[in-house]
Amino acid sequence: MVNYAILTWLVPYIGAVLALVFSKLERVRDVIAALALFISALLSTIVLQEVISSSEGVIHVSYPWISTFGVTFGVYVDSLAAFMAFIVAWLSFLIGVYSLKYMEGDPGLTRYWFFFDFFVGSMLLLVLADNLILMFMGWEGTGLASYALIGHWYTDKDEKCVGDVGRKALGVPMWFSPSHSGLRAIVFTRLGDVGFIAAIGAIYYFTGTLSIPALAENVAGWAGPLAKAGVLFPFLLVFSLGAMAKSAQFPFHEWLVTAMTGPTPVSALIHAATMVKAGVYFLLRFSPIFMLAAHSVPGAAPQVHAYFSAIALIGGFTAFFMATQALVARELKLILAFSTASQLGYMFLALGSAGLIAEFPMGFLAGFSHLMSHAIFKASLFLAAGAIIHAVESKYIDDMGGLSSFMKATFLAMSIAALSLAGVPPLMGFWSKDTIIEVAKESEMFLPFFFGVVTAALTAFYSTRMVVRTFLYEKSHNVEHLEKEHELHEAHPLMLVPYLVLALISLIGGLVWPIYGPELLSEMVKSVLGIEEVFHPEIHLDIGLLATSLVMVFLGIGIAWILYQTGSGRSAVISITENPVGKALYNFLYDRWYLNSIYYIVIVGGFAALSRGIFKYFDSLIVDGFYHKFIPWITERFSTLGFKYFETEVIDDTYHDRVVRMFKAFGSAVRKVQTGLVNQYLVMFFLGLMLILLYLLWVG
Amino acid sequence: MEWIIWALIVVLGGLGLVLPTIDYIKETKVSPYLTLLGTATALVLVLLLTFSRRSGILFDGALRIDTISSYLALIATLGAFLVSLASVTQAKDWSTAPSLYSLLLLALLGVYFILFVNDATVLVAAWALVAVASYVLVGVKKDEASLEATTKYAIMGVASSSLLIFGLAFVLGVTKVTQLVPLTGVPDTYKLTLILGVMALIAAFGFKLGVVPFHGWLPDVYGGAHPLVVSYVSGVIKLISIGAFLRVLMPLIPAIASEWFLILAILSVITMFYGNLAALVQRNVQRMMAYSSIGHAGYFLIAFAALSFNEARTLALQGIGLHVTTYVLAKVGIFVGLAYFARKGVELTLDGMSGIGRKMPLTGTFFSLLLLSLMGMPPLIGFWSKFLYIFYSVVNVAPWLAFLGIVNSGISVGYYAIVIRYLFFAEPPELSIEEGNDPELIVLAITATLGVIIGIGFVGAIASFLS
Repeated sequence: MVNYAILTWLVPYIGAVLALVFSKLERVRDVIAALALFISALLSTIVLQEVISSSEGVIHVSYPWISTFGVTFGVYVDSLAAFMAFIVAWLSFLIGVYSLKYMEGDPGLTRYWFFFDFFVGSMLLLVLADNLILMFMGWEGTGLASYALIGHWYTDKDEKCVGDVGRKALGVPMWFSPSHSGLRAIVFTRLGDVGFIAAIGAIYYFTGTLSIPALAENVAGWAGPLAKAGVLFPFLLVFSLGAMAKSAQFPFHEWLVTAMTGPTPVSALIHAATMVKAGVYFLLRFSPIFMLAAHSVPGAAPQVHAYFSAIALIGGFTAFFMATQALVARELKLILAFSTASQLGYMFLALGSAGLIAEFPMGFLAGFSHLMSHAIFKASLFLAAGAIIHAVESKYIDDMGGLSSFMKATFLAMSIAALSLAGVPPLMGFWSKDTIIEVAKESEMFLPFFFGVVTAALTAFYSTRMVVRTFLYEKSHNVEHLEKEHELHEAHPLMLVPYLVLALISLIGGLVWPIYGPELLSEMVKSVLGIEEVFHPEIHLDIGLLATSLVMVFLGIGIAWILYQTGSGRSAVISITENPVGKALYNFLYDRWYLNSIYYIVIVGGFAALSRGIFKYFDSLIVDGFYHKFIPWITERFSTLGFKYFETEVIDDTYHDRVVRMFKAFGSAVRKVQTGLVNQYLVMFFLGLMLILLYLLWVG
Repeated sequence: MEWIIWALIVVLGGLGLVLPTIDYIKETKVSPYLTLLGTATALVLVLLLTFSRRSGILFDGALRIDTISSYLALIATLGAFLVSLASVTQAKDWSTAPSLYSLLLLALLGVYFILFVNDATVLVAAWALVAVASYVLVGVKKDEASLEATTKYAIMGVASSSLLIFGLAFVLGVTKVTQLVPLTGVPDTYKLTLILGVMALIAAFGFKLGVVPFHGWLPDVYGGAHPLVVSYVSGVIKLISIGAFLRVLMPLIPAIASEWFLILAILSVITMFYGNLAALVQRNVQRMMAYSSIGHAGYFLIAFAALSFNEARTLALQGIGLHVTTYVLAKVGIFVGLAYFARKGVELTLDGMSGIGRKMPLTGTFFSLLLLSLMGMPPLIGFWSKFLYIFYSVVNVAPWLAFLGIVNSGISVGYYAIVIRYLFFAEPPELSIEEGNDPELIVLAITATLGVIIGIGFVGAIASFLS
């Protein structure tokens, strides 16, 4: 039997290659690329069906690949991987359909489709892989593809940048060209990957295997020695560095914000289903195993506990911190970008809290279901935003307003999705977010819980502000102008259908959640690697908590509505931003808490200084100084000696004069070339040798 | 099996000696093609040698053949073949072209002798052959940059060669035989002498490899000489230092295991950090690649350090063999690619190269694949050789060293990614586009494709072949 799970990730890769092959036949290429996504989505459905219907609920197939490390070529599909692959594949397909229209006529379409399919294939590979190396390959593949896609519009025209061209904070430019943003994405995420691969090395060291299921079976093998040495907590953090970077958690959040320079479908792909969700998936995959370590390895529990507390804290803070920045953002996609990082923070909060409460699966499911509901409404929001930006030819919400009469269906879709994001009942976002807040409360850590509750209000505020400013606010000059030219109209069906469908799923899913939710959740947690106890999820509403979160949500919506939809509110907004304190706060939030500038000044600047310093140290320590003169001088001495004792006519000026002159001329010639000097190199050569010898004498 | 060596001597040595006489006297231009033929023949011969999988002593103990040395010889020959292929358009019109080809062939012969060396006297002779040939090779273009590079190279080379003799004197004084035989233990009175000798040899071999602080010449030579010549010096001739480490120093390790590990580990850390950090600030891509070579020398040292532990030895040797493959494919390809860009009138700085990936898509893609392989991007060969074999070889014995290696690999992303960014994410310049039958493009295609294919399917096979 052909293994569908392997094909699920393989087919998009094949689609990527076919897109290259058919690069000349434009329409064929586009359709083939989208078709590959469709087939992959169908396959993922079959796999999900198999996993749900089979009794043990796991498909594990592997073929030997590189025997030295026991690296296999295989898939491990439990209910977690099956559901995840299902979401990724279907969302990617819908976004692909949207791209067919949105990217029409773009000159770089071959490249676009190649990396698009490559991206999806890599994401599916990392979800389905049965060993760490294969997972890492998918992990790196998403990084590489996102690098190419974010920088898709490589010409770096100003209108393709993210941020206001010309704006600086603390002297550091705050606008980013597509190519610069791509570079940021790969460098920021690679930083975390160093931790990931180092931890894989450590796991290999302890267990001699890289298989993921073996990681759970032999949990004592690796967690035991680490716990005994007291380094389990830092190890788990290092292991999760890659996940934090990929999921844009503080302090690695910066890359995601500027990743907006990519075409809108790419933003949707990165934010909804792939890339950033890889980090959350990583936690979903491994946190049950960490819990297993806490239960079964003596001495591990407090360290694992510390790890989960750290994750909850990081998640909670990121949720709050990114939401504050979304309050003032002026670019439509940027609001959504901040919101993504903030929502990812919620998911981290859920998984962190999961490790602190009695029923781990409950927190696990809170994170997992929020991942799903967020993927659906965020994809819808991004795709709708793309259509709007396309229609008004501007990325700023200042150039929008009053669009509800021109794009009714888009208005409907975006409102539903935004309400889901805001956490208004009975949409899907409400159910999943509320569980997270409940879990956070149960964890009995005040700060993350507090962040979670406040962020609920902030989220409601910026979601409302976004919809109001786009659709209901008074028409901007730009919109009036376009109206006169009769250029405003609803999006093309190929674009409209995907985001409308997603918004409706978000609505209907929410409506039926109380009935079917528990059943779905129990399927999702049925056979997750590392979760052994049987868990029966149920929906129970904590009235006090529900009231708190609803008050927060409606407070946010209400304030935003008053501020942006009533006359007096609007004048209040203006007076707040003109007030010095208000203005300072605005700038603080708008310039992303100045963290980007600080990174550039401290880290980038510091690294450059270090590199240059190393360079200079070797160059100027001895150049031009003593040794530069020393060798000519010693040659002169020697030749004088030679002259004295071997005085002949031939040697006379050749040896005495020329050699000395040669060395002197050589020295000054090289000085011009600005490279190092050979005599200095020689000195380094021998100095280095002597240093090592001295060291040896000292040691031995 | 001796017949293969004889055949190699006749083909390479004979051609090397005869070529200049033909071309200089008869004023023909046949040497590129004869060289290509010669290296192709050598490739077939070495393939035979490698796949016969025989090992043993030849020429009354002067040479010794085993799997890893014949595999390294295979890679060296492949590199030489590819460089001569690229040179067909590159160097044909140099006034000194026949000398270039003659030296190329003679140096390759010398490389074999060092890879197979089993006797200190052969080592000295072969070392001199390769060293002198490489000094002249670097200067053979006869422009100012090449001459400056060759002067520095030669002066530094003299220092290192004298250390070689010096070190050998000490070591042979302890072992009392000129044959390079394993040494299990020495009386304490001799230990310091032995270490002194080993140190001198590390310096001498490390000089060719680009080990800091013996690296001074390298940025100037790799960064200043003609890229085609650099592809040979960095891709093929560099293997002599790896061969010498394996043949001359490895047998001595058991006698000085703990000191060996410390020295090599310290040198590797310094070398990696220096190479990778210095590469970050370069604007000239050729110089950047020179510093990247230093960084990779540091990775090789990790594997050499691991040789002092029994449990790490197999993995380290496999790592050396695999990483040599990664390194030779990538460096030959990259420097040939740079030579290609230069021939098309591109300035080899980041700004000069900006956007040419769009004008020359195939070249740009292959070039980027090679950079990604050096960066260690899965599933290319560089990922396996660097992370899984070299770094993980010390994971059991010195996790901190593996960790520093990984950190360095992280730093290196900074500059490799920047080159790719400039290649593709910019407006293309006005210049002539690539042509499918340009030999440089073929070389790039071969190296990049091999990097991908080996990475996906053959890493395990090569590793088990080497063990």
